[in-house]
Parts: sequence; C-alpha cells; structure tokens
Amino acid sequence: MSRLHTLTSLVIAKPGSTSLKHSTRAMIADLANKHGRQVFQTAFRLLGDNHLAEDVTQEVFLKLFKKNSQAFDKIHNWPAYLCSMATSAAIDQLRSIKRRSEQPIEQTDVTPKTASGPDSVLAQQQDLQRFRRALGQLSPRDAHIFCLRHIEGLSYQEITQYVDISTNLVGVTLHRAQQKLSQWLGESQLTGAEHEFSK
Amino acid sequence: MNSANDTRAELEHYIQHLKTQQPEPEQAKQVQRRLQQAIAGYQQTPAKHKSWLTTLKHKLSLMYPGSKLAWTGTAALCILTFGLLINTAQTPAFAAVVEKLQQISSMSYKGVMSTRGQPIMDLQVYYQAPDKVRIENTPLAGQQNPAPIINVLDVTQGKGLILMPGPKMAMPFSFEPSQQSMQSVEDDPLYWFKAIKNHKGEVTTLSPRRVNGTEAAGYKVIDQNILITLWADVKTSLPVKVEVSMAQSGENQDAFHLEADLEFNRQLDPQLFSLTPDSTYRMGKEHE
Repeated sequence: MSRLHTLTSLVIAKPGSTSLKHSTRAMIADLANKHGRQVFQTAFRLLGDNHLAEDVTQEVFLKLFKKNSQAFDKIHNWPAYLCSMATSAAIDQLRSIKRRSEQPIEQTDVTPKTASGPDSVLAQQQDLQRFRRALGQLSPRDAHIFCLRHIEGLSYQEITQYVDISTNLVGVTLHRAQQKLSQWLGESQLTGAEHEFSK
Repeated sequence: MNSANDTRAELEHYIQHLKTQQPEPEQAKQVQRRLQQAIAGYQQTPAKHKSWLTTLKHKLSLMYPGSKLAWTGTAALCILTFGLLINTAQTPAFAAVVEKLQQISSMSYKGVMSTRGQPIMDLQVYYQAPDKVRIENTPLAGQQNPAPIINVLDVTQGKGLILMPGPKMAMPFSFEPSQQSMQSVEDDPLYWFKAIKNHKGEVTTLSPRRVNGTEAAGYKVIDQNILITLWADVKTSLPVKVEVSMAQSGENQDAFHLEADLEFNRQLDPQLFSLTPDSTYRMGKEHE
C-alpha cells in the first residue's frame, strides 16, 4: 500500500470542512463525477482487484487537493491526465504486491467480455496474472509508458505530456518494454510455474 | 523459437485480454459513492504540521550550507517516520483486531448469503461466548412467505435444537463438538470468525474508508481457498463488516458469498439460546 496514499487518507476529517476553498472541492467532486468510473476501470484493469483499484481511485482524486489553481488551468485533457495518474499509481501497487502462488479468489471480481467455457475463463485469468506480474517487473517508467500506449491508447505526443520524456524516447522505451515482456511471458508459459524475472 | 512477429502477436493477446477487464457495475457505483464521500470529507493537513519541519530544515541548512541535499533527505525520512507512526496509531494492526475478537462477550450479525451472484438466504446469527450460537436462516428464493429455520447450539454440551416457526415444529439433536469445527464455510456461519482468530499467514491491509458510517480499516485474509475481508473500526479495532467468498474454479462468480454487518458485546437475551422450545411447538424425535 503506497505510503503517500496512507498519509493522504489519514487527513480525511469531518465532512463539511471549510478549510479548503469550496470551489476547489466542488471542482474535484465534479471531476470525480465525470471521470471517477473511468479512473476506477483503469486501475481495475491493471490490478484485477476491486479494493486495490478503489484505493488507487481515491488516491488520484485526493492528490488533486494539493494542486494550486494554476496547475489546474494547465491541464487540458482531464480524462487522459487522470488515467495517467491512475496508471502510475496502479503500477506502484503491482510492484509492491507480494507474489502469491495462486489468486483464484481475486479473479472472481473480473467480468471478461468474452468467455467461452470454464477452461477458457481459467486460462484467461492465468494469462492476466502472468501479464500483471510481468508489468510489475518493468521499471515504473517503462511500465507507465507501455500502459499509456497499449492499454489507454495514448499517442506518443500525448504520452510526452504526462511523462517527462521526448517523443523519440517514447518509441525506444516501448520497444524495450515490449521485448522484455515478450521474453518473460514466453518463458513463464514454457516453465508453467512461477518464473523469476531478471531485468 | 518464436519469430519476432509471433512474440508480438502473443503480447498483443495479453494486452487485449487486459483491456476487456471490467469491474461489476454495482461495484463501480459503490466506489463512485465512496469517492464522493472521501472528497467531501477531505481536509488538508494544517500548515503548522509542515512548518516545524520546514523551519528545522531551513535552520540546519543555514548552519551547514553545503549539506542541503543531506538535510532534504533527513527531512524526507522524518516525514516518512512521522507518517509511519501516525499510520500505526490510526490503522489498528491485524493482531489488535484479533485480540479484540478473542475478548468479546457476544456477537450478532445480519447478512446475506449468495451463490453464483444470486442471493439465496438471509442470515441472522447470535453468538454468546464461549459456546452458544443461534442461527436464523430465511430462504430468499422460490417462496412467497419464507419462514426462517432456526438452529440453536450449545457447543460445550454438544446439544442443539432445530426450530421451524412455520409449522411450529422443534427437533432436538446431539453432535460431537469436534464436528462443529470441521464444517465448511457454507455450513458454519462462524467459520470466518474462527479463521480470523487462528490466522497465522499473510494479511493484506486495505486503507481506511467509511463502512456502515464508521471509519474502518480493511484486512484481507485467505484461508485455504476462502477469501475473508474484514472491516474494523479504526478507533475500537472491532470489526463492523465481513465479506466471505469462495470461488469456484473456472467460474466468474463466487460459489459462495456472505456479506454481513457485525455488532459485538451487546447484552443478548439468554432465551435466544434456550434448548427448550416454548409450549406452542410440537417436539419431534431427537435427530443425530
């Protein structure tokens, strides 16, 4: 569990606090109303766990209280910005989750769009576990860029707005991440068991 | 060996699977509701909590101007340590919750039991420590006016009573106390209670959130193939809610799911646990 998130959650006090400008709170509430579900889905896809995804969702929006009004004005694409934050926080969670040998219970939170029989669903769940573990083994920045591109569908140019990196380097990073993931996922399938990923 | 195209296609397969994952709509709705509550209740840390550290850092950097980086690191360490100390105070340790459960005098809970996503039974359970249990099961499916079936157990004596308020029948029974502890999660409404008290393995802590109107910390425990999520009041360390689920291999939905709101240490009427039914009941023969 991110310490930053734990610290943030500790300052939640009585409802109706007036120490913050009402406009800031209202703005964040409005953003949450419009984009909260999307943020939750972004986190859920990466984590596969409702509780952890909810933690990430709350972390993303509560962090907005720390921004000043100028920072708010600079953000032009709120859905992309919030999903980028959610992706980054979810990747942090993936990296901190301890490896477990089996996670059948958590996978029951899943609603896959395509499922054709119990064996297929089980195989899909195992694939997802492997993929999430592999993502957690990438460096945070590589994983962040990979997810923004391939899961959230952002362009290279959009990615540079949320990650301090040049467009050229986005391409290089993606190529490197794809190679590593392909190698690890291929090896983990062959061994059929927990695989010690080496960076 | 796979060609580059094959590995790329394989990676694409994983990516597409991940992109199809969606949470349950009801779950997303609840998350949205709690998010708005968290935003409404958020209050920034008072400035004075930051200023002593900022002041300290500034004073030290004036005394030792060449070591700003070291002092920044020290300040970060102080913030982290302070945060850890606060965290320890605010979120009770799992061991503290277990200790509270060991000390209770009574427990009652009201919950809903589901199978494969369908609610099948309302459950009301009363427990008087150390050995008396009353379980009221009311089926939810297939009946117009479902009547509860009540089981009363005295675990020390190994004696129980089944009450059927509908037909007004009562049936005593005996059992080996050791049999009670071997029952499955579906049959034993105190399975989760014992599992939590005896749990020695990993515990995943969830950050505090409002549950049943109370600021509660969450704890996830896996006991064999049963997932137990317990929410405990951060002030009292007593649980306020429990969710118990057992997945079925290859299925999207839980084979068994129980969600219940908990209360502890209430004065319970001893009559709840009486093994003698009132005179309106017809007694059947003892069933073993």
